Amino acid sequence: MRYDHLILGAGIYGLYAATLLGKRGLKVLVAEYEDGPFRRASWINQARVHHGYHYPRSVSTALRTAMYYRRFNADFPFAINRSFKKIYALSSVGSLTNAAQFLKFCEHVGIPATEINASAYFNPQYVEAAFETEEYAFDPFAVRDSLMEKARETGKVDFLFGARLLNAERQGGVYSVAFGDGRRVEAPAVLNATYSSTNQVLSKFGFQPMNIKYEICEVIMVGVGGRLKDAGLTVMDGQFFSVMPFGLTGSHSLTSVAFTPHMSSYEKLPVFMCQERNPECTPGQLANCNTCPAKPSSAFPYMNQLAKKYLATGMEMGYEGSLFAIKPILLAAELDDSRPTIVMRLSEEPSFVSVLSGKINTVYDLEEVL
Amino acid sequence: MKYKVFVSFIAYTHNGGGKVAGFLKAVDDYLSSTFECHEIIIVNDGSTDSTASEVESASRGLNGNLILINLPWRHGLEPAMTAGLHKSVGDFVYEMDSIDTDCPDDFLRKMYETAVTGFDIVAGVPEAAQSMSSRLFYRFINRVSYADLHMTSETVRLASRRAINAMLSLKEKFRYRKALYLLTGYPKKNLLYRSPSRGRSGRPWYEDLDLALDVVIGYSNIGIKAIHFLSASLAIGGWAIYGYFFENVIEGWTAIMVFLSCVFSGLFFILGMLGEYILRILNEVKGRPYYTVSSVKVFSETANAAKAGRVGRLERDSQATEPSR
Ligand SMILES: Cc1cc2nc3c(=O)[nH]c(=O)nc-3n(C[C@H](O)[C@H](O)[C@H](O)COP(=O)(O)OP(=O)(O)OC[C@H]3O[C@@H](n4cnc5c(N)ncnc54)[C@H](O)[C@@H]3O)c2cc1C
Repeated sequence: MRYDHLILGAGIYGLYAATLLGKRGLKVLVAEYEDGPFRRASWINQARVHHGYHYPRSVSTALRTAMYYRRFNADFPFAINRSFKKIYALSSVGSLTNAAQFLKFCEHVGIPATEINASAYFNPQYVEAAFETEEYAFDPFAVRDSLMEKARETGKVDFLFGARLLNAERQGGVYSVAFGDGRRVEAPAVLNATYSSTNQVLSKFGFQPMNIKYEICEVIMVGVGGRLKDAGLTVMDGQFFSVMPFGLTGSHSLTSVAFTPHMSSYEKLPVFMCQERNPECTPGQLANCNTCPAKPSSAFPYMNQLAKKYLATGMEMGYEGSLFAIKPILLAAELDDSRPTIVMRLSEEPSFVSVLSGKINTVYDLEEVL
Repeated sequence: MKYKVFVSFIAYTHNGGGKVAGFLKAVDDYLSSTFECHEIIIVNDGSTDSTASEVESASRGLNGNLILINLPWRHGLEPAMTAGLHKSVGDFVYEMDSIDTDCPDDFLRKMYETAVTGFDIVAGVPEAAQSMSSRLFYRFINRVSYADLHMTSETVRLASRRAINAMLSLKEKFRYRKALYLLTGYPKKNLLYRSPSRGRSGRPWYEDLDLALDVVIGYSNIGIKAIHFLSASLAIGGWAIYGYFFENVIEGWTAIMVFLSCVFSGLFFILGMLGEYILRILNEVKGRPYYTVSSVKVFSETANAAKAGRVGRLERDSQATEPSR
């Protein structure tokens, strides 16, 4: 089979690229390991449409993020939950920013922040200051459905679900890619949008893997009531944690820097002990953590304690379930926690582009390269 | 049956490399057999030995989270333990000031059982293991302090979350937890235990002395009183000696020298004492962070279990399915 463009991965990056290329009239194949789109990081994350508040140490990152924020909200208005108050708080211990600095930073970047009484939501002992800000949550399913719909509308995009990428070779101006079911696809252009499998795909195509650290992350779904129902809270620095609406699902997501990652791997091709229990998941190809028989047990007891310590009384939450996904973290980005999205063109003819995304709404970075 | 609470256990160590593995195993066994959930926090106070890597390898097989807080240089006990307390999330928190403390599991359990009968703070006091110097010290401080402190040597302490919150919110820069807890006003109980070995703080004597001086200055006004007393008594003493020597020395030279030296020694003492108080004010005013952390490592329960070959403990309730909409 021959296509104009082969896209590996049907997360938000893969699907967005498919709509972009399909609209240009190119014949596109999206090959996805899972049986459907959005089964990994594009679903399993905090659903935060970043507005820049996270980057008080990098104004340039914050400025760009704010721009992408406006665009994402305009493109997916139906998928955005705006009906809650977004509160950012500064931890009183171990915080690298203080209230005055934070306000100045927000003013500089042009993102709203108004100081509020911290004790309305937090235990004032551990929180130095709290700000009402503007930041929304996106609904992964609504984004997925709209992207799938747009891809279908172009009439140019085919999907191959359950794809098992075996190997790839260059044949003149095209890549010839072999899949597990015996299928062979030829395309003059390939996009690697496989996120946690980026390095694995790179090495199958004969490129150098990147310096990545992998973390098995747990996003906890909780049910909340009272004042927390209409609020999303993020405590910055110190014991960084966050509880906020998970899109339009009615649940909140609960995450923290200390307890969300369960295990990490510093190998370029990820090695985890739990892979011994799942023959499908290897350093050569990661399987889905969320449906894995060897997935970790929940860290909810720890997270719940942390929340209890930081939040005002009467903000209890009930456990609903856990979602697991692997987060790849570019090692160079750890120092300034800027979490950039890297789009690299590794070959011109045939064309090979690889993307390692840092955030959902930086998906527009793809336009510059495709 | 396990108690349905979340317990944190904080232990201090400086160059305890060879002992951490045994210590962690013992504490983890105790905690996981007694409480439903727990975390252990090791505060590594500027160790120059292999403590950090020993902790990492000892995390293998532990039944809860292990948190290692590395301080870049040696801070001393109180700031180091405060770093641990700030990190802890437990409903109840054990504080152990040295990993050499050998207090039996039964006793630790008794501490918890005592706490839930209405004591927010329960302290473990080693029986007859106090050294002469610490006995003298506590007698002295209990006598001179204006607060009713009733302090003794405590090697391990259990405090409730509300007592910790109250204690941590006291703004004082010089933190002596034992006294600060008392200032919170929450009920406290001391329990005696028989320590198999003689309780030693494991700190060199000059650090103990330093801490002792800080406590005396922080919790009593004995220093100010001593200044008044000394200036008066030295004046009288100087005059008496002067009188004594007056008849034997023709020129009066010795008398003047003795007088001068007495007065100057008194003055220097007073200056030293004042200096201590001014230092205290300076430290409060500077508002420097109380401790500096170089890194925090979390060895998660999952990773610890996986390292020991126990992966993927399946739990019915950790399933999550795509919400139907
Ligand atoms: C815990 C966590 C929290 C996060 N929170 C936020 C947040 O709040 N806000 C935000 O903006 N971003 C957040 N992110 C980042 C965000 O989720 C990602 O940047 C984004 O989802 C990546 O999209 P993607 O399409 O590249 O990856 P994915 O959605 O993971 O898509 C990659 C796809 O590739 C498939 N695949 C893998 N290997 C192969 C192969 N060999 N062949 C074919 N297909 C393959 C996978 O099955 C998968 O479907 C978070 C990430 C994590 C892990």
